Amino acid sequence: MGSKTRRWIGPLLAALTTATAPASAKVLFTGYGDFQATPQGAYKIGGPPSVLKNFGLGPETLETRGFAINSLGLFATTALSDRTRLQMDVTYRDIGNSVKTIRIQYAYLEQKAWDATFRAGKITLPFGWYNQNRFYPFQRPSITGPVFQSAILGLPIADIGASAERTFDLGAAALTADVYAVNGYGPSPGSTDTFRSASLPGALTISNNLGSVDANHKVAVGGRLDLSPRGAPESSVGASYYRGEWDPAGQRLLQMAGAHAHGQWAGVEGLAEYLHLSVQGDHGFAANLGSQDWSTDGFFVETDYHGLKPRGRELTPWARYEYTVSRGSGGGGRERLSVAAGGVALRVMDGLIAKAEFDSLSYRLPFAAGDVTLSGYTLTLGLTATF
Amino acid sequence: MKRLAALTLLLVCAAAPRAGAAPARRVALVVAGDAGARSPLFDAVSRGLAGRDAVTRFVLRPDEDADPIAKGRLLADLQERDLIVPVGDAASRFVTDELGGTPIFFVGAGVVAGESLRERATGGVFSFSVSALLDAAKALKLRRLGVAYTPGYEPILDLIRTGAAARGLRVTGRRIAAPKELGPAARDLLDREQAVWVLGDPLLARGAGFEYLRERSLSRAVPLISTDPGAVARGALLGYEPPQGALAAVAVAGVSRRLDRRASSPGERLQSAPAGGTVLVNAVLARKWGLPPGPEPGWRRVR
Repeated sequence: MGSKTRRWIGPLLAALTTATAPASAKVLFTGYGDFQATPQGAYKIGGPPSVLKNFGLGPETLETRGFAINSLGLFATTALSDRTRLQMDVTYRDIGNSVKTIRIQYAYLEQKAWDATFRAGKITLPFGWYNQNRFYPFQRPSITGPVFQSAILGLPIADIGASAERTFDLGAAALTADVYAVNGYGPSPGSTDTFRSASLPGALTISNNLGSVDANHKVAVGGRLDLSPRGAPESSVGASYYRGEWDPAGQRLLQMAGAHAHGQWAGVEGLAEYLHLSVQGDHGFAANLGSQDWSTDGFFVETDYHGLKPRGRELTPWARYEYTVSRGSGGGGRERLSVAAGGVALRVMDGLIAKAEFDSLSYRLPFAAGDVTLSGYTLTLGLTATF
Repeated sequence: MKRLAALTLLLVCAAAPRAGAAPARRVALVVAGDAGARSPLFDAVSRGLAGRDAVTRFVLRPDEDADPIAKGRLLADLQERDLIVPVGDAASRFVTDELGGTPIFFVGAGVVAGESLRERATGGVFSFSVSALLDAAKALKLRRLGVAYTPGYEPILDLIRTGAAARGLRVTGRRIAAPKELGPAARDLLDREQAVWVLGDPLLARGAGFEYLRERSLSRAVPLISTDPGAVARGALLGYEPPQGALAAVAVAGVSRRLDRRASSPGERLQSAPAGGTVLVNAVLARKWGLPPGPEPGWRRVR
């Protein structure tokens, strides 16, 4: 590049920058903290000792008590223009002497154009209703989420890619359609032919299979349709779908399908979600379910009541039940999970919620030598602060 | 080289209209959700600003702090505006607390943190009328007034002094910069003055600070004058409700001056509400303390 050319570039860039830069684009930070205490939890583990020793366990009863800072999250938002926004969530987990886990839950650029909203970056997938509306502890009265979604599937489901959302006015209702393309799930870290390994709930989540780069040469795609009646915009029914090859060769298909219904009437809020997973060619779960091709079907229902305000403070009782079963395509053993939970949340003051929750869980994981079972309960107390 | 020069010229010309032309001014009109549905003042200000610039209306939810993601998006959207106009106490408090340093013109607020008022970017018209409350004090023969205020309220104190002098009333101001100064200041004013005017910092006008002042006021039989109309039912003797239409007109004129960058001095930035509204009187306290019988026309008794 000649010196004369260089002389032009500086003023050119300066002129363009001055003409196009926003007057100010400050970053706004908000956030939350989630503290938990477990006064009592007890789980009975049963099964063949030869199998349990692989998990470092034996047939036994485990008790749990303790305190934890479950998560601290910082949300950064900046509006680059009336129609363009940058948003990011950095969450700190496993907080002890140091922070073991720093996770970017989402980080994307959002642009509104042509009556649609476009997002690019690490986006929370528009799958179901819970994933985008109840993932954070300040979004829900419960301390924990549905066990399958949060402990096995791994919430939030967020991946690197792009999405588009548009709402269509149908007169009596509004239909919101989302489509997206993302890197997609890959194999279990360190493997090329394992999607999910047998483990006790909470030990290994499928979300660990979401990498920073695409696992193969194929892009995963999906979408969601969500229908809300005109007179009740908080209520909706919808269906979601995800499709993508998970193995490095791009040959083995993962599909997820879901349906959801959410509504509120006379202070009672209800949410029901159904989830179907279909996985091909997974060596990891083959020994448990008798086939490399397996599927999961499950649902959860949750009810909250918002009409109580003792001394002007909102008190929200809630209850939830979930059931999930996984099976191989050729018969064989079945993984089963059922959880009943309930509790209350009390808004102590603006920005502070106190919670109490009781969970009762029953889990069965088949092995050739016999089934491993886990059953028990946990009483948890929590405080969620927002700022 | 010629090609590059031509390209440069083309790009600069494309950018120049955006740089040289006056951009459309974007105004955010904000009201709290519980008041939004029935706020004549918000509707009047909204009508007054209609047709000029780009006005976007925002309604705050009662639990705006509950969802930091939604709150961040809202604040980012508000911050993008050339001027934020919160209407009413709740919206004004939210905006001034969260967006200090951003151009704000509050309307109809009685309680605003003094620290926010010190920002040059913050201006507005209060919900109380200095002249109407001075007239009420004079009618009740309260001639020695103490004014408790926090840093930031100096322009309002000046308005009160000027109005009091014109009415033959004496005013003593007592600056309270920290919570620990409230006790001595309150004792000093309540010992020496016939009434104490509490300017609207939350430290003085709400919560434990106001409770303390009220208790001292009752024990000393020295009335309180409040900038918060709701305080009259909680133990202040006098308060004020402004005329909505006239307040909206003052607010619209003030917004226009701010957008045209014509208001810069503190006296122009911070304005008292117009007279012609309703003076609120705590009838129980007035009777208890044997204050002159009333009410005057335009007064309303609160029990």
